[in-house]
Amino acid sequence: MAILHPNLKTFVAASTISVASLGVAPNVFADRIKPTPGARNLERFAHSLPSTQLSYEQQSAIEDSLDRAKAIVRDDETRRLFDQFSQEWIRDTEMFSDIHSHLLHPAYHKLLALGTSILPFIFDDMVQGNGARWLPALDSITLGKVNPVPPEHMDDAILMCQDWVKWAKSHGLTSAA
Amino acid sequence: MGLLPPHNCKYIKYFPKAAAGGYLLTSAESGFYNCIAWAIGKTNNKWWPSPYRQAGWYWPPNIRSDVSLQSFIDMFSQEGGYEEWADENATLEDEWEKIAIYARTGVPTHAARQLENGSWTSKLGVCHDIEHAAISFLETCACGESSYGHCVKIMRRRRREASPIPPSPL
Repeated sequence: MAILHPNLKTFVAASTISVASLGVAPNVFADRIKPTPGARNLERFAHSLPSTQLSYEQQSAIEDSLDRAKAIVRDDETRRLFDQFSQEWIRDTEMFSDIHSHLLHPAYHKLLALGTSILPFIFDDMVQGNGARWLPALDSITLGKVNPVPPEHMDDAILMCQDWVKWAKSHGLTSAA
Repeated sequence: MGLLPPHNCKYIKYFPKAAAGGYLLTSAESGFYNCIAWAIGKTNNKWWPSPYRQAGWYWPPNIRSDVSLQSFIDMFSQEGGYEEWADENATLEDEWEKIAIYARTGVPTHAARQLENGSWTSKLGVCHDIEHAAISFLETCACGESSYGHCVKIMRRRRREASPIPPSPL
């Protein structure tokens, strides 16, 4: 996946963020996957999101991806993929200052495709002081529906990160919470 | 303090000329700002032209947003009061503060700001700030031209007119 059209990017994020809004039983995979604390936090987070108006085709596609999405969120595979893609992304882009190198990198789009399942890992990284790199991803993954940043902070990445970390902690989405 | 090559530094492979000539790491790594922000004296956002707004990235809304040399010239002129200057050697002149814009295949990649001691300060991507002795130190790598390309434009402003630039965040 080299370059995602903005609409497709939104759809990829929607495929995991709308799990709760589709009414799928939360425990459907409980017999084979043990939820982690991070997954339980994520479950609560997903239920707190407003539902999305989707077409029949979009809902079908989302239902087809539910098994994978809900499985991923509950085991160490998410952590492994997050580490793999984020390390690849950072390694290839850290020497560059341009926005396009960072946000068009294939590994970055793989991270976005993991959707809400990686939010706890993102917030843990932000708590460590590495928040700025994740700000555009947070906006994409949450479909812009979660915005804890007041307008007066929009031009200051340091304040934006502080706002997001504060919000994540209040929703139990960090390890330290 | 003189310029010393840091040991076991990851930048040596990118800029061996800088390593040979010596450079200093002058900040902690930070993803909050990039080279353009640092050149203009900001540390709370990454500055880069884009027609789309992305969180954590900034470009003055009144400046053209295409990734062209002219966009950067306009930005440094309007936001920093710099003027274009035909000085390929970028020699130190006490009364002038200078910036160097790098480009590769005509596309801007990097900017550095001259310090009062004549050396240059650069933010390397989203990594460290470094102090390097010459513009050319970031222009070559082991394979030839570095990913930053070459300096294609020098701009300057009077130091007495310049707003105080904050030190690198540590």
